[in-house]
Amino acid sequence: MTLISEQKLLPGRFTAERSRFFGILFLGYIAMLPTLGLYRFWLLTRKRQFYWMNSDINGHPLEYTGTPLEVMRGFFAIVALFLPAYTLSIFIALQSDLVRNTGLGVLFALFWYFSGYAIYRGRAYRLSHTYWRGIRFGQTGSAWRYAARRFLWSLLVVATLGLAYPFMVGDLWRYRWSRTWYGDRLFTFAGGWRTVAGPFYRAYAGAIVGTGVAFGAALPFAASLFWTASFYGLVALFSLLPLLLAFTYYRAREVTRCYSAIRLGEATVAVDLGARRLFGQYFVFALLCVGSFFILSLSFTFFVLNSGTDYAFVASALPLAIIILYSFWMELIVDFGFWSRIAAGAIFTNLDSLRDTNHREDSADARGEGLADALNVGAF
Amino acid sequence: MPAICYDGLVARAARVLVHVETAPAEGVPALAIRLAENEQEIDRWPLDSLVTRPSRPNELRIGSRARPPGARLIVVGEALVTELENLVPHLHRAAAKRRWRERRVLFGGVVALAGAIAAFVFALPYAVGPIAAVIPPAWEISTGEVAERQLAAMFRAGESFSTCGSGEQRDVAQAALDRFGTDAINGVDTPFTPHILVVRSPLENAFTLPGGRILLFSGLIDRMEDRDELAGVLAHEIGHMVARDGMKSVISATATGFFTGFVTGDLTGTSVAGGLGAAILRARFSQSAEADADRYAIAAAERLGFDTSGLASLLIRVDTASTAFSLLETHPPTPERSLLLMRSAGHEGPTPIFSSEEWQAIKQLCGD
Repeated sequence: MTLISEQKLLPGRFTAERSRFFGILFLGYIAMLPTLGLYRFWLLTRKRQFYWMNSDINGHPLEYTGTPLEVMRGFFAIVALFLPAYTLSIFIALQSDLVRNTGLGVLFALFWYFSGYAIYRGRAYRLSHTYWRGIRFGQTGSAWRYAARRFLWSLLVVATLGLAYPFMVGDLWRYRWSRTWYGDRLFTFAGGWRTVAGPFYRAYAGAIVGTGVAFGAALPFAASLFWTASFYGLVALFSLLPLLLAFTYYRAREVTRCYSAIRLGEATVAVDLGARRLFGQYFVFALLCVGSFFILSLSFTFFVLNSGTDYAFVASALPLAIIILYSFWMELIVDFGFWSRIAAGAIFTNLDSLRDTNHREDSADARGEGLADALNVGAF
Repeated sequence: MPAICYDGLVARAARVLVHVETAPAEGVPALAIRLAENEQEIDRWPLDSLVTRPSRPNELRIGSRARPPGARLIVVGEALVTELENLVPHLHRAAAKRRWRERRVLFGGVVALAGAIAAFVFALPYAVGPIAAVIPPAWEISTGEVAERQLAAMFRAGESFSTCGSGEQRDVAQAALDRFGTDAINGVDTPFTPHILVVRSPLENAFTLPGGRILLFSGLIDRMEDRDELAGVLAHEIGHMVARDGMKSVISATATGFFTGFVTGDLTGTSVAGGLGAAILRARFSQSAEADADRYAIAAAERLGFDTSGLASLLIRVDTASTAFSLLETHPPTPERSLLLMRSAGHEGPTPIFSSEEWQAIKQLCGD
C-alpha cells in the first residue's frame, strides 16, 4: 500500500527565474507612463500568463486564457457604477456630524461588502480562464452570498477582537473550495477552523507579547522624548518586527495547511510554505523599500534645490512615486516568492485519478475583475 | 514530429505525432494528428484554424478555432518549434492579429483618455463657476465647517479656530473686524457674512473658507506696516468669499480626485472628503479669480475709503521671505496686479478705516 502511494507522489515545479519576472514587471511599469495607466490590464494579463505557464503539475503547466480587454471592460463597467456612489460620498461628507458619520459608516460597510463580492467574482473569472491538460477550472455559488457571509463573519471577528478569525477562515475556505470545479469534478475542503486555530492563536499571543515587550523597550526613552506621539511612534517601530514575525508565521501556516486540505476526488496536494522563507521575503522587501525611498527622497530634494521646481508639485509627486516603488518591490519580491514557492513546493498524489475528468460548460464574465481592480482587492 | 495533445474534452494528455499536410488528397490543408503508439490518426486541425498561445521558451502551444477552447498541441524543443513554424506558413498570424487588435484598443483608449484629461483640465475652470452657483449657501457653509475642523486639527487648534487674545483688547479687535466685514459687503449680493478670525500662526497668509470664514494668520499681521494693508487683505479675501472661490476650489479638488482615481484604477483612495483642509491650504485660485478679488478690494476701497496700494506693497514685502503656504505662494504678486492695485488705489476717507485704538488692538492681538 505504502509502495503504491509513494509511486504516485508527484512534486510540482516552477520553471522560471525571478529575473524573467523582473523583465516583465519592469517593462510593464514603464509602459504605464505613456499609456496613462491603461497598460495595467495588459501587465496583469502578462503576469498571470507568466505565473500560470510556469506552474508545472506533472509535466503539464497551467494555462491562463483571460485577455486584457475583458478585464478592462469590467473596469469601465464598474466605473459607471462608482460614479453615483462617489458623488453621494462627497455629498455625505459635507453634512452635519451625525449624518456624515452614519452616512460614511454605511458607505464603508457597503464598500466592505462589495469587496467580498469582488473577491469572489474575480476568483470565478481567474478559475474559468485557467486550464490544465485542456480542461477548464470553474467556480459556482453566489458572489452575493459569499459577500454576505464574509461580511457577517468580519463583524463577528471585530466584536471578538479577532478571536473568531479562524472560524471565518475555515468557513470561507470551505465555501470557496466546495464550489470550485476542475472540469466536471467538484473540489472539497477537508479543513475547518481547527486547521488554522493553533497557528492563529499562537500568532495572536505572540503579537500581544511582542507589542508588550516593545512598549517596555520604549519606556526608558519616554522621558527624553518631547511629544507623547513620538513615544507611541517608537512603540510602533519596536513592535514592527514581532508583528511581522507573527504575521508571516500565521500566513505561512494558513497557506500550508489550508491548501493541503484541498481534495479533488482522490487527488490531493500537500503544500509547504516555510514561515522563515516568507519572513525572509518580507525582510528583503522592507530593506528594498527603505533603501529606495531614501534614494528617492534624496534625489527629489536635490532636484527641487537645483531646479527651483514648485514645492507643491514635488509634494504631490513624491507619494505617488513611493506607492509605485512599494508595489513594484511587493510584486517582485513577496508575490513572486509566494507563488513560486507554493508551485515548486507542492506535492501531488493520485493525479492519475483525474484522467477521466470531462469538460464542463460555464463562463464568468470579467465584471467582478473590474470591481476587484476598482476596490483594490485584486490578487495575482 | 512528436507532440503532446489535449483534446479539450477529457483531462488526458496523448503522445502524438504531427504531420503538416499542405496539399492533402482530400479536404483542406491540415495538421494530421496520429497517436504515437500506433500511428492511428485521431484528428485533423485545419491549418487556417490554428492559433498559437502564450508559451514557455522553446515550447509552442497551439489551439484550434475549430476545436474546444482547451484543445492544445504542444511541441517542445527549439528545433521542432522552428521546424513547425517553417512548415506552417502564417502560424503566428492569428495571435499577431489579436495582439494588434488589442493594441489598437489600447491606443484608442490612451487617445480617448488623454482627450478626456485635456478636456477636463480645460473645462474645469469654466465648469466650477456654474456648479458653485447651484450649490445652496447652507451646504457651502457646512462644507466650510468641515474644512475648518480639518484645518484646525492640522494647526493643532482644537475643534475650530478662535481669535487669539483676550479681554477688552480682543473685543475691540473683533468688533472692528466684524464692522469691516459688514461694511465690505454692504450693497453686494451675497448670501454670506464674513466672519474674520485672527489665528496665531507663523504663516504669512490669509485663507477664505467656503461659507465666509476668513482666517487671518498672525504671521501676516506681523508683516503689516499700516492699517490700509490690513483693509486691503481683508477686502481681497472678502472678494474671494463673494465669488465663492473656496467652494470652487473644493469642487475642483473633488473632481480632480475622482479623475485621478479613474486613471490610476484606484477609486477607493479618491475621497477628497478627508482632505478638504489640505485642499484649501494648497488651493491656488486662478489668476482671473485673484484679479477679480483685487477689483473687489478696489471697489470696496473706494466705497469705504482706504488705500489698496497697501496691499500691493505688502505683497512685495512678503515676496522677499518665501515659506511654504505663504501669501506669496497662494497669491503670486504679478506686475499686473501691483500695477492695478497701485493705480486704482482708493483714497483715505475723512475717518481712517480702523481707528488707532482698533489697529493697535489687532496688531497686538496675538502678541506674546
